[in-house]
Formats: sequence, structure tokens, C-alpha cells
Amino acid sequence: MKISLKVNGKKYTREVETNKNLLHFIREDLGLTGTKEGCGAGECGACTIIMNGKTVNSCLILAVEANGCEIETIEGEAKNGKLSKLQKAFHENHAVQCGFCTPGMILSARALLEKNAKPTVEQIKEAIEGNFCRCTGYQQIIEAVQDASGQLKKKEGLKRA
Amino acid sequence: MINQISFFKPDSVIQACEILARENNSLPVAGGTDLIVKIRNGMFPQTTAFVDLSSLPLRFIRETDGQIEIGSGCTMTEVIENPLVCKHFPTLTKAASTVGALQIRNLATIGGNSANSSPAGDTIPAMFALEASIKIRSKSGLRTVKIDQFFTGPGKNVLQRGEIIESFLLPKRETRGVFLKLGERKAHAISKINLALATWTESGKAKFRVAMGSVAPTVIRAPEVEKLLESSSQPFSDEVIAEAASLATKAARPISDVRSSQAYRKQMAGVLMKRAMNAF
Amino acid sequence: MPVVGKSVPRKDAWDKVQGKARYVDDYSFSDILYATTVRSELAYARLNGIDTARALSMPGVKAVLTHVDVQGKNAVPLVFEDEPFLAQDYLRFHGEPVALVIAESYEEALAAAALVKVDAEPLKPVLSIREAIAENAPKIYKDDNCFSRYNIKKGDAETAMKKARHIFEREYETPYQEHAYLETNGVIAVPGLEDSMAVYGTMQCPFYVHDAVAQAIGIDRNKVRIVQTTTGGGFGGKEDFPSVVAGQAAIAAKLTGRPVKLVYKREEDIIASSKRHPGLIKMKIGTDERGKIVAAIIDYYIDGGAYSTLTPIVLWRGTVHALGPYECQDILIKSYGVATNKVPCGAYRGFGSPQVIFAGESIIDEIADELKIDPLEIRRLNGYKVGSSTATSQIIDQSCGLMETIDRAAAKADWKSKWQAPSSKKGSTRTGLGISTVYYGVGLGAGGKHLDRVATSMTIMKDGSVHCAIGNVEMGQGARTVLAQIAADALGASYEMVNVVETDTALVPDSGPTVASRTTFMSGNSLMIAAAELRPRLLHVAKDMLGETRDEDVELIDGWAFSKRNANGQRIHFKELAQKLYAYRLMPSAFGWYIAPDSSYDKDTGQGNAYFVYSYCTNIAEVEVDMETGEFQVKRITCAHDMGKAINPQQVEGQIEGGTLQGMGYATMEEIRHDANGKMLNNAFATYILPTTEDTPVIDPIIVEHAYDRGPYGAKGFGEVPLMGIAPAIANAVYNATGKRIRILPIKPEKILGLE
Repeated sequence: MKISLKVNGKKYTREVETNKNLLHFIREDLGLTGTKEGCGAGECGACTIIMNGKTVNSCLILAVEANGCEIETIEGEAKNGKLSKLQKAFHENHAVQCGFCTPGMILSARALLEKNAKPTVEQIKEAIEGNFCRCTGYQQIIEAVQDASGQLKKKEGLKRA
Repeated sequence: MINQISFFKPDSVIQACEILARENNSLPVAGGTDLIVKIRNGMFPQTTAFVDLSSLPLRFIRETDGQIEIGSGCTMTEVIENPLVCKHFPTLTKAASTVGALQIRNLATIGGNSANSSPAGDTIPAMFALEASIKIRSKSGLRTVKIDQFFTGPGKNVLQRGEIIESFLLPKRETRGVFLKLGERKAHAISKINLALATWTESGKAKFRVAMGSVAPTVIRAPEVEKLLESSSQPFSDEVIAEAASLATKAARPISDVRSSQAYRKQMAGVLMKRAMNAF
Repeated sequence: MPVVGKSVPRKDAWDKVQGKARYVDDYSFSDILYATTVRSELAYARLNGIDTARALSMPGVKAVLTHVDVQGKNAVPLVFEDEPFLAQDYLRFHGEPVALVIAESYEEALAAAALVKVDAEPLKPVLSIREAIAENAPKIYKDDNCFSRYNIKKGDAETAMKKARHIFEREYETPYQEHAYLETNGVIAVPGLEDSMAVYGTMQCPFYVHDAVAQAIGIDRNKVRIVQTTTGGGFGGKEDFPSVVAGQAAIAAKLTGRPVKLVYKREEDIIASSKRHPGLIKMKIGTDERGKIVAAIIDYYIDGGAYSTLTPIVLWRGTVHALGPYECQDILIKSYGVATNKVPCGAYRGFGSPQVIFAGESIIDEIADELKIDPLEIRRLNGYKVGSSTATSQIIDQSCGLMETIDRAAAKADWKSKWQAPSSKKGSTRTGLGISTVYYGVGLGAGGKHLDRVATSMTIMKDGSVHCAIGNVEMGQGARTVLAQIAADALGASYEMVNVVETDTALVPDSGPTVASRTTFMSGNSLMIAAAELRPRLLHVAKDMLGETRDEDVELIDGWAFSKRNANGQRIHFKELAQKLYAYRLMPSAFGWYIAPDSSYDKDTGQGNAYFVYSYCTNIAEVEVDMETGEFQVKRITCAHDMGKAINPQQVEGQIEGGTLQGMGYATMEEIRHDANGKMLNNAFATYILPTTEDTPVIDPIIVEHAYDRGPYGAKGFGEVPLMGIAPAIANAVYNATGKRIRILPIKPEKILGLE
């Protein structure tokens, strides 16, 4: 079946099998491999994308369902080669270890900041509760989101709060 | 490609019903959050068609003759953020907000949660407590089924091939209530047990409805508890609370499974009952 | 400015935040084929035959491989070589690989795999440690179901026990733990010219994989090249298991002559990959009247699963660490690694230690409780200090920060004013404090010392940038960053100019595994060796350029050379030095080969210098328990760690926080379950429960630096340590809050209420 959709502002039209999920479509058919498969079952959040303004697990959506949708992936986060505030904050606060959860994590954080410019720690935790990270213990990720929203007193962080 | 599967995206409910009736091995796709996982696990190898319900005009929440009607296509997020629901049915708002994680709530639909018919489905006890009815559409017409008549077993319900849930009808009342849940972790969890309580005033009398999930093959109501509460004066005495807890424990007939034990669930039915009563 | 000790940003984070880092599934090759695995449905069975005919006839299918197709030796080259690449004669666990289906697309492979018919005759499986060691147990491995055993005999424990004033005897059990790295196992095997084979994949131990591929397809090692791709977490789970996956993919690639991608779905990763060994620990501790430990007799069993893989070495580490960091003159430890018909266990952060640490740190808490001693004081009384003698009679001669970790964690967690005996707790919500102290031998130790060497190749490029190839991998822990910091300072280059590349077996010789918290220490030291060879050449060049007469009159720091007597005068940039180095035709490369400091071990008594140095930590957990539901929230964990020197404090904190949360998962929610027939029940993230943000406590890391004189800038190693003592700290806190002692992990509300 032929579908058309906008990804990171660019329009794509492709023929796709009906039983292919959106995650595999984005990775394989569009070659945007920044979106990751961690579980394929909507648990881990590694495949998080923003679809029509909302974060979703792209592994739980058929590609054909996304016909006509607007999608943002991690590849659209940096603009003209410049890292976004969030990306910079992840970089500087050591919110990245193995990096496999990072794309999904950043998109969840971005959706949060678009709705709520100054989220509390509790709101940050809730916004990323569907994004598993096995490396960091989440603390430096939460600090990065605080930093990106201008709320991290340098060298303080959560543990000293 | 193996097994070429057709894809339909009807924009009217009748059309959707017709396709589902016509295509023997078709699957309706609402939010897909449970369905896609089941497909991945090989549960529907014979599927010949997907029927995408997302373009159906079923994403509404509106008032109709003394009732509030929630379209089955509303996502959990839409239900949570809806002021009408929040004002009249805080029990449902709370229940919907505990489903999965945010990415799931942005996809999963209120109709899908009932259609999937898991005994642990979080919005189902809330629907029980709010005395919801389910409008079921097929190409031959409409039928309405009371929520407690809808479920027939774990993953089973009265829906026939070619039928879809169109909406939930909730009697319009100012209810108060709570939804409590115990899971294997603090968030993004499937309920080990959950409990919904709703109360409202009818002809000057307080009405109570209590329902529990994951304590039986389907969500169940606890009518003995409801009777006790309705016949007791408020604020409830410690004795009434204790009696209600004990009746809730009696009503629960859970099993042990990968998530919890029978004994724990049974005892927690009472604890959640007590907490629900203390919560307002 | 020198960068060691500074929190410089990670080398790899720039790409990772943009989604540009390429993990194995992000690669493709032209003409690639896809593989999937047919697995045993049974826990134990005789394998009579495999019918592949129907699968072979399916569209897109290129081959269906079984054990008869293995070109080399059908045995994964780990310690005992008892595990086949593809099952042969017997099926020994639910999920064991039986056949591989290779097709033009993954979907076609998957569809055909369902049609492979495995003819197997079920046998009665052995499913637990207790079943395996029962007297009349069916024998599934040799005549005693025992892969390996060790003894530690120090003094005369039996006699000392008789003389003890108090004797405490308890049993503890721990479950399987799944690594749950976010990136599943996977490789791409690419056949090359002259019968060569390259394998790209996610892994911790490229040199193990190198051995496995050579053995699986029967070619020389100089025809095999293993390239590690960006690795999405390991935690031990990618130590032994990638050997299986890579061997299989290589067999398929050799057979078909085309690249083969074998990447696991989450469900098969959990069902098939190695895990933390379940443990059964029987502790008997004798003390004097003050709580001083005078005798210890410990029996330690681990469940190795169906094949031995790394069980013998996991068991050895656990045996050495069984008593914890406590002085005792009379010790008897016996340990057993048993066989069962379940998924094989291997390495997992802590490597056989977290099980015994749970037991040891629980029983010492029980002793303190019964003797009415503050749990912190009993640790001060018995814990290691410089001069202490370990269970293997090794004298701790330096770098022992245990007492300081206790003091600093206690001060930060406000132990003195907060801790109260459980008897004083009342009400339906109760708080509790629990402590654990841990020591951990860095590196492979006497049990694996033949592997404890590591190589580095360092080259100064013409533009002054520095290229370092190392034998240990980056798997997310930050090795490339920390090692670049060490290399930069050792050489006098700036951090930005040093690039430490991902591991490739074509660049350095076999450097052993990336495990045992050894990378900073081992690879760091080998970089220091290489730098020590190159630096004099740079100084020599700089001397001429600065018009000095002697090399030692020149300093080179952070990419700039200058005269020592005129530090504010002329400065020469590293780039110019490099150009001159090439103009002088001095060799711009050096090779570092570092051999671990010596360790020793007596086979009969287990006595000797088990590890060359130890790291230490103290964890204090604070919990709040709901006495009606048994639910509890871990509110805060304060973790003080002595790792010698924090090369990058921010990364150290990241290791502490991440390890602590993995430890909390182990303590409170993670376990693998099997049914009565040995079928795994929860091989998915919906049922194998991991901590989310909402479960996460405040984790308060404290860095304690007791430098080790042989470490690079004093560093030891500690990546595993943060996980190891978390379970007992939480269990002790739960006891402190509730009076309920949990001796079987995980600690669940059902257990706290006695409603299992």
C-alpha cells in the first residue's frame, strides 16, 4: 500500500507492506536509524517518536496507520547541525551512557518541554516513565532535562536537592 | 511479502462494521497497544485484513439526554484531559491516568481497553462503578449492553464478528470517587489488583458502586459492599469500614499468577476498599 | 590543564544525542541475508531429528542449518566447551538454539522457522539447585550435576566455631537476573576474500568472539576479524553470549557465501542469553560476645543452568568474596556450581558476588540485631583496614578506604540521628535504614590471571591528533572517554586531540575480556606504557624547537611544550611537535602491553593473593514501607565508593547511580520464572519488571579516593561495585522498618506480608 507522511518536515511517499510497523518503516524504508527497537512491544520506549504532536511507541503502530501523519524523530532534533538545548544538556550532564535509550528519551523530554517549559522533577519523571534506561539510574537524565529548562543549579543536581 | 494483508481505513462506523463482517479474518485496530503485541507474539497468524478505526467519528465526549457519551476512539490522554469527564467522573480520570506510560496513553483507546477485556484493564472497574453501558454497532443496527453484561471471561466479551464498540454511555451525575491500583512497580504497570469506587447522591440518598479488577476472570462488582455503604450513615464508622473491607475480601476470588498471589490479592481487596473509603 | 580528575564530556555523546551512533542493527550490507533461530520448546529432551524440508521450500529461504552444518567444531570455546553452537543429541533448556533459518528477509526467515519440525523425546528436567544436589537427583552433568567446586580453608573453622560465644546459622536465596541491556544481542557476519570472515556486532569481548568464530567455521584466527559496533549496554551479558550468536552467524555466512544478519528480538534475547546465576547460600557465623567474627562456615551454590559457560570463574569470585570485607582467622568456604535444565548463566555485573554479598550483609545485620549492636558499628569492628588479612590470607597493604566509606556514607545519610532499632517502629507507614559494606577484587585475579593482560596501540598522527586502539571495549560505561583522559595526560596531549577507537581485533592482540571492572586499570596502564615510550621522543623534538639542550628541561602538558625555566615563554603546539617528529623520522607509534600485578591461589586451600587490589563501598538505603500493602518506596540510597581515583567524577557518579538502580531492581522486582516443566514464563519486558523513573530513589554518590600505587593516576576499578551491595542494604532497611527479614530475593510486598 502506498503511504505519504511527513517526517521531520520532509514529505515521503512509499509503498509499504500492511503488516510492517512504523518503527521498521522509519528505520528500514526511510533509513532513519536513530529510532531504536528495544523490545518491540511498547514497554521500553526506545522507539519513541512524536506523531501529530504526541509521543508514541512507533513499534505499536502499523506504518499504514501513519498515512498522512506528521512525525518527528531524533534526526529532526538538531537544526542545521546545531544541537538543541536538550541535546546539549544531555551531552553536558552525562545523561548518555550506552545511548540506546537516548533518542526516545530526548523526544519524550522534548514533548514535555513543549507543553511545560519549567517542569518539576515529578513531572519530568512522569514524562519519561515509559522510557527505560538500564545504564544511568535516570538521575543524570532528569538533571539534563532540568538543565535544558534552565532549572539546574550547576553542580547541584538531584542528589543534593 | 508473505500473507499479503489488506488494510482498510473506513470513515464511517457502518462501513467498518461491514468490512469486519465481510472479512472473516479481519482485525479491528484501535490504539493497537495490545493488539500489535499479540500479533507480534503470533496470536493471529490467519489475519487477512486490518481495519483501522482511527478515522471513525468516535473521538468525542459529549452530553446526550442525561448521559455523557464517550466515543470509543478517545485515547486515554483525551479522556484524562477532558474537563467533562474530570468534573463528573474523577474515578475514570484517575483510572485512565494509570494505564501504561504516557506513550501508551497517547495511543490506547477507551474502547480498546474494554474490547481487549483483560481482567486487569484499568478503565473497566471505573466503568463498572459509573454504571456505564456500551453502545455496540453492527451493520444491522445498534444494541446497548450494560457494562456488567459485556465481559464473559479473560479476553472474552459479547462482541460478535462485525460489531464494534461505538461508545460508553455514563449516566450524567456529579460523582466522586477513587481508583486504586497495586502493580509490580510504581508506574507503567499492569494491575495486580485494582479497585474503583464511585459515589453520588440520588433522591437525597448516597449511592455507592464498587468494582475490582484482577480478582476474578472478569472485573467484578462488590454488591454486598455497595449495600452496606448505602445503608450506613456517613461519615463511616471504623466498624463499617472494616466490614466493607471484609466483604470486599470475600467478594474477591483471585488466582495466583506471574504478577501476584491469590492470598495477597484477596487481602489487598480489603485494604484497597478501606483506603477507597478513607480517600474522601 | 590536565584532564584526569575532571568531568569532561563523553567522546561518544555528541553522536548519541543525535541518533547518529550506529548499533549493529543500524548497519546493512548489499546482498545481506537474515537469520532467525529455531529454539527448543522443551527443557530437557533427547533430540531424535530435525525436519527442515518444509521450511526449506518456503519463499526466500536460502538455508536451514542444524548441527550437521557446523563447518568447524560444534562447541562454544568457553571454559569447558560443553555448549554446542546448535543443539546436538540433547536439548538441555527451553530456548536452546536448534536450527537457524536463513532467508532473503527477516519475515521470510521467521515464517519458515515455524515450519522446522524438531523431533525430541522429553526427559525429566532438573530445575533448581536443590533438585540438582538432591541425593537421588537425575544426573544431567557427569555423576554429580556439578560443573565445578572450590574450597577456601583458612585456619580451623570447625574448632573455632565450637569456641564461639554466639553462633548464627541462616540460609539465603537469590534469583536469576536478566541484564536487560536496551540493545539486544546481534551480529552481522560478512564473508570476505581468501576464506576470511568479518563479524560486526554488539559485544563486550571481541577476543572471545574471535575464538568462537574461528572455532565455529574452522579457519585460522588471522582470517577472522571482529569489529565491535557501538554497543547498547552489556553489564556482563555480552561477555560470553555474543560468542554463540557470532559463531552461528559465521556458520551461516560461510555456508551461503553472503553476509548474514542475526539480531535478536527481545523475547529471544531473554529466553536464550546468559543471566546472573541464582544462588543458595548457607551461612554459619560464630562471634565473640562483642560481635567480632571468630569463625565462618559457608556453603555457596550457584545454578549454572544447562551449560557451564563461565560458571567455573563466576563461582571462584563468589567463593573468594563469600564472607564480605570482614576479618576472621578461621574460615571454611565450600562452593558448588551446579547444572540444571534452564538457560545457562554467565557474567553479570558483580560476577557471583551479589549473591553472597546479599547473604553476608544480611547475616551480619542479623547478628547486630540479635546482639543489639548498631549495624554500622559491627562493620567498623570487623571490617578491613590496611593490615587486615582476607579470607585467602592476603594482607591488605594499601588503598583500603572501607572505613572512610562507612564514615562518609553514615554522615551523609545522617545515620546517627536517624537509625533506630526496629522494635521502636510503629504505625502503618514505617521508615527504615539499612547498610551494606562491600569489597571487590579488581581484575580477573588468580582465577583468570592468564587472561589478565591488555594491549594498546598509540599513534601520533602527522597533524598532532592521537589515535589509540585498545583491547577493551566501550559499551556505554565511558571507557573511550576515561581512557582518552589518561592517554592525554600521560602523553601531554590535549583531551580533544586523543581519539580512542572502538575495538577491532585487527588492531591489537587478544587483550582478554572487558569485564571485572578492569578496563580503566588495565587499558589505562597499557596506555601509560605506550605514552611513556612516545613522550621522550616528543620532548626530544621540543627541546630542539625550544632551543634547549637537554630533554628534561622541557615540559609538555595539555598539548603545549615549553621550557621549564621559562614557563611563560615560547610555547610549541602539539601539532608542530608531531610534524617535526615525522620530519625527524622518529617512530610515531608505540605499543603498550600491560600485565596485571601478580595474584596467586592454592588449589586445595584457596589461600593466596586472590586479587591485586580491592575496591570498597558502603551503601545506606532508606525505605518507607506501607504496612498494609507491603509496598515500599526506596527513598534514598547513599553510596560511598573508594575506587582509588575518579578519573572522571561525573562518569563515576553515572556508574554509581546506574549500578545502584540495577541493584535495586535485583533487590525488589526482577526475577526470571519457570513453570514446572522448565518453560520460561516471563521473557518479555511486560513480565520481566524493570525499574522506571518512578521507582528510582534519590541516589547520592560519594567519591572516596584511596589511591593504588600501581593504578593509572591511582585508579583501581569499580564499575560493578555499585550494584553489588544494594540488595542487602534494602533488605536490611526493610527489616529495620518492619521487623520482617527477607532472606529470598526479590523483596516483594507479598513476602513482607507473608502472603506469597
